[in-house]
Amino acid sequence: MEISVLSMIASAVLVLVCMYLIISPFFKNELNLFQPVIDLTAHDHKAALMTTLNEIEFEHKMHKISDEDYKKLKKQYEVLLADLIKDNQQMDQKEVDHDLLKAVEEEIENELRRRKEEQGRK
Amino acid sequence: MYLVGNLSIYIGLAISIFSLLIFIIGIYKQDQRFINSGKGGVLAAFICTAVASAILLYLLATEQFQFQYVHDYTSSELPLIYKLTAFWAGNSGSLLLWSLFLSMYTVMVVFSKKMKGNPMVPYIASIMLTNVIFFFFILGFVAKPFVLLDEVPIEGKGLNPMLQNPGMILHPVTLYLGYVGLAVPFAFAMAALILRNMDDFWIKMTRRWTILAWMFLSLGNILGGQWAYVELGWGGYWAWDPVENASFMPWLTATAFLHSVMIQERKNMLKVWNVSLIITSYALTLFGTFLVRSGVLTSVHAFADSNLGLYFLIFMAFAVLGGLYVLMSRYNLIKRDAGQFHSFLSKESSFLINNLLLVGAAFAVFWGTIFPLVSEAVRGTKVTVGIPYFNAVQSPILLSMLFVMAVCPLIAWQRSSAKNLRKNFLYPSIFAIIAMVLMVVIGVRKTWAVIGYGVIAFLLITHYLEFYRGVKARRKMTKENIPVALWRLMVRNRRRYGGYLVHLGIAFIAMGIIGSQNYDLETMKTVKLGESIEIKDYKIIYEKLDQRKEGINDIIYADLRIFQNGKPLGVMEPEKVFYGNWEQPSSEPAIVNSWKEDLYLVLSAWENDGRATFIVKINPMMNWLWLGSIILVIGTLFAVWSGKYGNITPRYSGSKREVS
Repeated sequence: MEISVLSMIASAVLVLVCMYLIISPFFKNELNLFQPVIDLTAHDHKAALMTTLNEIEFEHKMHKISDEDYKKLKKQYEVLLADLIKDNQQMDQKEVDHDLLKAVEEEIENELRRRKEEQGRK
Repeated sequence: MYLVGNLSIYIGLAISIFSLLIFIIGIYKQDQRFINSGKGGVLAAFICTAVASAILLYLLATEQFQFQYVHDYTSSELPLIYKLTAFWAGNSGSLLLWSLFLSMYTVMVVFSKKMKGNPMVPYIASIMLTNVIFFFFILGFVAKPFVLLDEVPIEGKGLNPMLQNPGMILHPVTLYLGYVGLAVPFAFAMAALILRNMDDFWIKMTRRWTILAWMFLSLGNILGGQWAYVELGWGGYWAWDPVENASFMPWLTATAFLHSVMIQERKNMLKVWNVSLIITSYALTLFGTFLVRSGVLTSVHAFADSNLGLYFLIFMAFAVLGGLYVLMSRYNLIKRDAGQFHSFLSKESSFLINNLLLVGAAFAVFWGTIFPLVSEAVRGTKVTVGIPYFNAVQSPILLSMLFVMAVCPLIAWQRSSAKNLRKNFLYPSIFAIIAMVLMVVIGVRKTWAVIGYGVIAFLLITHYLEFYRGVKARRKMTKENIPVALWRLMVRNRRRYGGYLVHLGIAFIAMGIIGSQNYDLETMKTVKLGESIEIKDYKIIYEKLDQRKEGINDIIYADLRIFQNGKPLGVMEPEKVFYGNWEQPSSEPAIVNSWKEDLYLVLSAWENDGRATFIVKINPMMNWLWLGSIILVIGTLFAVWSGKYGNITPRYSGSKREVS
């Protein structure tokens, strides 16, 4: 079986390319590409709770949940959200605002209003 | 070409092994240079499979019959498209295609922008590379694509005529894309468990991979059915053949997985279940390959008998045991912080029921498929369970699934009250009952058909109401006009409404299946020239029997003039093809399509005096089945389309490492 020059060149190119790909990282100065990953669990959790609240609102408007359940669920998730925001703020600030809960509730209402308005605009 | 082709496979194997080891060392030493070298190896492995694939395509296109694979699956008279599709006609070519997809997916994951800086990458890459190594090993030592023959033959054996069909161009490709696609969520799940990341990051990151893999699996199954319908000449599209079952099982478990992950995302529940489902789905893709390649079960689709199946069986056992070990070793961690259901009357509960039904259906198919092996092992004789078993077991399960699918939109996430359910159920139930009564009135009398169509009517109306109420609720808030409100409602929640479109597609498919399974008619008749066959309201006049030559093939055909209720529909030509390079002739049916039914004509046999025997079938509602398939694909694409609201990268909050 004859092996053509072209085949030999192609094989050599393939070998060289593969070798370059696996060896070159050792000669580059990217010793640590690690990008610190911020723990955003709380942020995600907040977003998930907001989404759930939004969903409860929409499902209520589509008459899938009763007024009673709607109020109950809304309250339940608002409390969860309030607790979360409270925890976050307590971690951020050493001094606790005595009217924090009220402020948190206002924040939830504002956020929901803002989302509704945003939906309206879009 | 021989040198480059083989070299690309052996270098690919060596590089993959090297990359796996270098990833492990990199993880152990926490040294990014090692990880980057491994990533370079992943790219190099892909280049190797791409080079090998390009060479094989070139060899096939240019009729290099000195290569065994080209000789075995092509011939000079074959059209170029089929020369190229012969790539996946045999074992080694199809496994090379599999390797190409697998290495391509590995590159896509490793170099994905969304995964940049993520410590899961080396773990995911290592798991996927283990698969790549397995396939390179098979290509290098068991099913070699670049084997030279001792002598150069002047002609090839040709491609199996059954595979010379447009459906066969896409069917294997889509199926492999689906099979290989499931390796990605599997690798993510394993990596997440190894890293002790118990959140739903891996699910969110692989959502699109899983949905697309599911879509390709669906397409693969549908195209396979379509091919069987137009090519095999028996008038059916699904025969519960072991190989068909092999691709249906992972479809069922992947469908269950797609639904159950939503519960984990919302409720932090079913984590063990989800990991188990993805392990099962992935293992079933390997099991399917084992069935196709081993020859342990008789199938019209199987590749030639080989010992390949054994390798797949060993690898499957390795993957399942490895997966289960990782799962069990993290079991206590997974079970922590699990959420709980608020109510039995909730969408979450309906998803759970749907999961149980889907997994139950998969198990029933699995049991029916392996029963011949079990019976042979226990009693010494191979007992095959036939179509009646599968139909009897699957019909009620699939019907229940349709019902759950229909009910699902009526139920809210979190909690639904009985009162609301009653209210939401009222109109759909009335509609479904009216539909069932109407069906009985117009002559649909078979119980399963009436129930089936009743459930489908229920499903259609519940889904319509979901769109209607959504638009109404949105318009109340935004005052948009109906089309704008509908469009924005859908694009702002692509996953939900894409899913509903898929449900509608499934409903249409079910309409086709119920119609064609319950109301098909068949007659077989021998007629003289000028005589006619009558079936239902069709009259088929046999006008001519003749033959022609196409290339090296001889074709016998009959001209049949078709009338429906006295109205002419034209002349159809069913054929029997005798191939110049293939022993078995094949029947090419002639099909008259309509939304109501297909008239399916097969030329079965003929005599010297001109008499001919025809098989004539009426298959109701077949077009609905194909239409449903198109809707299913559109719905899936709609659900995964990134758009303005869908392109969100989930945040990684798991374990931190120095390398990524």
